[in-house]
Formats: sequence, C-alpha cells, structure tokens
Amino acid sequence: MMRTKSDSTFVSLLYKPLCVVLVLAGLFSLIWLRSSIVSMTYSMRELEEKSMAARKDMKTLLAERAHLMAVSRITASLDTPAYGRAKSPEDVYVTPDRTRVVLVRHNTAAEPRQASLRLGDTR
Amino acid sequence: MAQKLQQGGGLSRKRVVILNTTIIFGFIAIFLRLSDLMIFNHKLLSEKARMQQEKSEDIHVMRGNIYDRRGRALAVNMELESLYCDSREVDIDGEKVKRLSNVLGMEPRAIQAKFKEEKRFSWIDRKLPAETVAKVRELLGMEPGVREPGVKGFGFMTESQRFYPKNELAAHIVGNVGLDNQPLEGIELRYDKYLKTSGGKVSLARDASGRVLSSGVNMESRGDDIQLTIDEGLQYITERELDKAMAKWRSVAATAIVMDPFTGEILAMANRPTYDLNNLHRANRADVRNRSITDIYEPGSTFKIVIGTAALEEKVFSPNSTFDCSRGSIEVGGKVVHDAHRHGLLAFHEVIQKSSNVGSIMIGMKLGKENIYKYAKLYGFGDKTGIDLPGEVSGWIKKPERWSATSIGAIPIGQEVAVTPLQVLRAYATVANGGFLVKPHVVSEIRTSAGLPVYSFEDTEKKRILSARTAETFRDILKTVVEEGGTATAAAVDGNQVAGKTGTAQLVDSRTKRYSKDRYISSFVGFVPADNPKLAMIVVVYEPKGSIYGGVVAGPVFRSIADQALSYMNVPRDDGKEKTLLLVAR
Repeated sequence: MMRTKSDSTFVSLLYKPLCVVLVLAGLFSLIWLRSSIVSMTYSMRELEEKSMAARKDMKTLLAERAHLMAVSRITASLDTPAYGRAKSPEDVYVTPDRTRVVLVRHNTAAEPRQASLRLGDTR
Repeated sequence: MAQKLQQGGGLSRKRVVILNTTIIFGFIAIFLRLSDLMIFNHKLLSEKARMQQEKSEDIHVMRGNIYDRRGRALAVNMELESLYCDSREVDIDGEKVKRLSNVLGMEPRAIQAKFKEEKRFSWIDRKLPAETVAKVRELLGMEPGVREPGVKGFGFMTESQRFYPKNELAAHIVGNVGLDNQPLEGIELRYDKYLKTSGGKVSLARDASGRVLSSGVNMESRGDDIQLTIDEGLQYITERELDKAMAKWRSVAATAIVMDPFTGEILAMANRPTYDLNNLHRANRADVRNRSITDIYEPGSTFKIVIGTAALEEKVFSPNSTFDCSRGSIEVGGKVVHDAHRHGLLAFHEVIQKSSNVGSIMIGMKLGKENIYKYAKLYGFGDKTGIDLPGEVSGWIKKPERWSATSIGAIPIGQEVAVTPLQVLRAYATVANGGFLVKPHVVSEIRTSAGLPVYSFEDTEKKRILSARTAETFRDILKTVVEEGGTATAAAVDGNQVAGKTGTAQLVDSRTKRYSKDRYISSFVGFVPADNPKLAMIVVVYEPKGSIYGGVVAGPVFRSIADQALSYMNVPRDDGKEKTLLLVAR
C-alpha cells in the first residue's frame, strides 16, 4: 500500500498537538499524584492521631481491668449483700477443697496414641 | 517615504534597546535578589523555613510492664496530661487563676509564681486525672479541635504514668518509680536497664495552617516486659495471713517468704508494714524496706540446721546418738545456757525436735568451730543469696579465729550470728530438695514489647552441699518437730506432713546492751509436703505481744498459709487416693 501525501500531512498535523496534550496530561498527572500523596499523608496523620488516642484509652482500660481483676478486689466485691455478706474473711476467699484433689499420673507403660483414618497421620 | 521608514526604524531600535536594557536590568535585579536569598541569607532563611514547616515531637517513651507468673499485670502504664505554661505568653486574669487553683487543688499564689519565672516552659501541675483535665480545658478554652485557646500561654503535654493495679500487693518486690519515672525500689530499680527505653525526637512536616503530615514513624517506644516468679494468688494469701498475725500478736513487723525449694523461685514474699505503690508519698521509710532481705536478726533455733546437718554429714553423731540434757543447762566460757524445759536424756533427733539448747551446744562442741563455720558458709550465711532484688544484705558470722570463749555456746543455737529470713529459708530448702543450695530469684523471663524473649531464668544454679542421705535423715528429724512432742504442733497442716523448725530469738536491748527479757523474734521455717515438697516457707514475727515462742506465734501462720497455698496449687493430700490416668487421645 502506498502512502499518499495527504495522509502524511494529516498525521504530522495531529502529531504535534498530541505531543503537547501528552506532555500537559503528564504534567497534570504528576501534580495530581503529588497532591493525592500529600492529602493521603494528611489522612494518615489523622488516623495516627486517632490510633494514638485509642491506644491511650486502651492503656487506661487495661490498667482499670487489671485493677478490677485483683484477687483482693474480687474478694472485697463478693463481700456484699448481693452475694450474702461474709461472716469472716475466710468465707470470702475460698480455695479448692483438697479432699477432692487426686494425684494423677500418666500411664508411662502405654504411650497415648492418636487414632486417625488417614495413612501416615498417626503419632 | 524611505526617510519616514528610516525614522520609524530608528525609533523602533531605540525602543528595542530600552526594552532590552529594562529586561536585562530586571534579570539582574532578580539575580541579585535570588543571590541575596539563596547565597547571602541562605542559612537564616532556610532555618526560618524549617521552623515554619517542621515540628519536632518527642517519641512517647514508656517503661515495660511487670507481670506475675500467670501473666497478671502488676505494673502497667497509663497516659496522663500535664499542664504547662509559657510565662512570656500567659494572659490570664486573677479570677480565672482562682478558678484554676480550685480545679487543680493548688494555692493561687503557687500558680502565679510560675508566671513570674520568665521561662518559656514551666510545669503547673503534672499527671492530672482525666476529669481534672476536662475541667481545665473548659476553663481555659482549650477544648480539642479549638486552634486558638481562650487563654493564651497554656498547654497540655502527655506523659507516661506508672500504675500499679494491685496497689500494695507485692509492693516490696515490684518496687516503684518517681514522678519522672526514675526507678526507686524493687524490680523497677534492679531491672531498670530492661524496663526503660530510649526515646528521641521525630521531625514532622507541617503546612501553613499548622496541620501536621504523617512521618510514618512509630511514635511510641516501650521497654522490655518482665515476668516474675511471684503468683498473685499465693502473694494475696500470704499477705492476708500476715495482716491477721500482725493484728493478733500486735507485733512490730512480720515477714513471710514462700519459695519453690527445687528451683529457688520465690512464689510470694510479703512484709508488714507495707505501703501502697500508687501512694508512695504516704509511706514511711520503714514501710518501704523489704525486711526479707534487708533486715538481719539472730535466727535462734532455726540455725540448729547447721550443727544438725554438719554432725550427720561429718558422721560425728548418728540419729541414734544420745545426749544427757537432764541438768537443763550447760556452762560455756563462764556463761550458763538454759533449755526452755528440762528434758533428760535426748536422742539426736529429739535435740532438734525439742529444740534443746543444751543438746545443740554439745553437738556444736563435738563438731568444733571450724566445722560449724564451714557448714554455715556452705549454707550461704554471711554471704548474699544473690536474689535479683536491690538492697540485700549479707548478714554476718564471725571467722573461727575471732570467736570468743562463749561463741561455741552461742553460735550453735543461733546467737552471735546475723541472718536474713531469705538465707534461713534457703538453708531449709536445701534439706527439702535433697542437698542442693539453690539461688533464689524473682524474675523468670524478660521479653521485648513484641513478645520476643530477651532473658530466661532456665539454668537454675544448684550446688550440692549435703549428701542426699544427710538431707533425707534431717528431713525426717524435721518432721518430728511438727508431730506430737515437737515444738511446732500448731504448724501441722491437715492432710500433708510438714517438716520444719521453730525459732525464738531474743533481741538485744540497745540501752542495756544485753538480751531483752520481753522483746523477741518468733519464727518458723519449713516445707510441705515433707516427702515431696511443693513449697518451702519462712514466717518471722518481730516482737509479738502475748506469746514469744516460734511454735505458738509463727507456726499457726505457717499452717494457715500452707493450707491455703496447697489448695490453691491443687496439691493432693498425703492420704488422698492416687489415680493412674490412661490417656486415649489428644
């Protein structure tokens, strides 16, 4: 196929504006990208501030939880009319009944085995 | 026409020259200005720009947390706000100062004095509760989000505040920190290099309106976490029983330590009087002292473990050897030492069981001062145990060459020696574990804030100082102390056999320099279950009123703590049925 003179003139006419448009588009894209990055950094900072505030609250709550979970505090909280006021301190903090504790020993002669239907999965 | 054109051309050239000259001068002016900005004033201007565009912020530094052996928090951090002022900027009227002083609970004069300091930064009040901060913010018009505060020259800064959730529980072990988080006592002081962390500053970019851009840097840094060998439950049981003993015997002070005799892990360590870790300013100096390791005392009969085991180990006496204690007293170096009761003929084990001073001195005299000293040093008396807590003292025992004529009649019965409760407990743990001297410790593991291990107390330092046979024989003798005919029947635990020894030591009267007739230290040290010990424990009650004997005063405290501790640890009774469990599958 032979190129006509009118075709090449049309392409050369489009070529320059296209280049200009491309350069401008690239330039604006860069500016847009840069501004997006900056606005994202602002958002990130806002999130960081929120995260710091949440961590601060978390620390306070964890400290409060640890305080409320103290054995001495649980004992004191049980000593209320709702739970029936204790007659003496011994009545509040109750340790397990050792008459019900039995010494359990592993049967070393017969090793425990895990049963499995899959081959090679037995231990 | 041609002339006109020539005239026109001349005018245009003139214009061109003027225009060119203007442009050139314009560029020269710009060049000079740029040179001024970029070369001559560069440093000053760049610094000014940096000040406007950058904001320096401290990395938030926090100490590591402290946990008990089951991971229950004993020391954590909270973040509290502190109020500061820039005295050059402060603009506040007298009425608001008065209201501010009411909110902060300070004198108005004290606040106004801060404004006169002419400093750019002065603390007004630090580490304020959240409610107070809210009130101050409202008063000064500093609510979050408001850029321009109603009252100028004030600001809040976040600071880390140490918080001890269990208040006075294990206070002498955990220790505390000061206002600036500087370590003062206990684990906080001993392990400060792990708990603290370095901070630093981060430079943050900000725009013209003061909005800050993210730096992507973690603005928080926390030290290593420490896991103790202490168990909160056992500690609570121990402290509660000590409180009861203090009230019952109206004593000056009391100490109790619970230890794993095989590993040296301290399971509980309590002292009375004590203090609230969150209210250090209310504590006396005496309350803060960890008496378990800082106070020395004459151990009395609990020291008979030295001559008892030495005599067996050196085969000087056998368990069946007999001693004539019928006189009830013995004279040594011109000093007469009495038994509490006249006993008659006693077997070796009965000397310990009945805590006969006469029999013990006879054993000591036969052993000789070199052997007594050698075994006392083997048990670690006169040396620090090496526990990882600050302030431990070594106690003392005189070298044989410095013994007086009466020393051989005093040292075997626990006089003329000074020990700490922990040293005595360690000696009895040696008998409990079959002859090994263990190293007591309170830290089991140190981890980074991310959970990675830094240090682990795995290789328990053990040194055999007694043969297994001697340890076993002496353990059987110690069992008889708690049985009928012994000095500590009140220390017997229902369901498990206890082995132990009582101690009743006279205090020296500082006025007369002689042993006091009414000031004593009563103690009981032992382990349980005797044949398979799960815990070794010492209870020391200082200056009890009403009774003085270790078996009467400290023995019942030992029983109460041991009974609850064994239940807490799910230790079966000796008479409980043993069951063999066949595991089928996991």
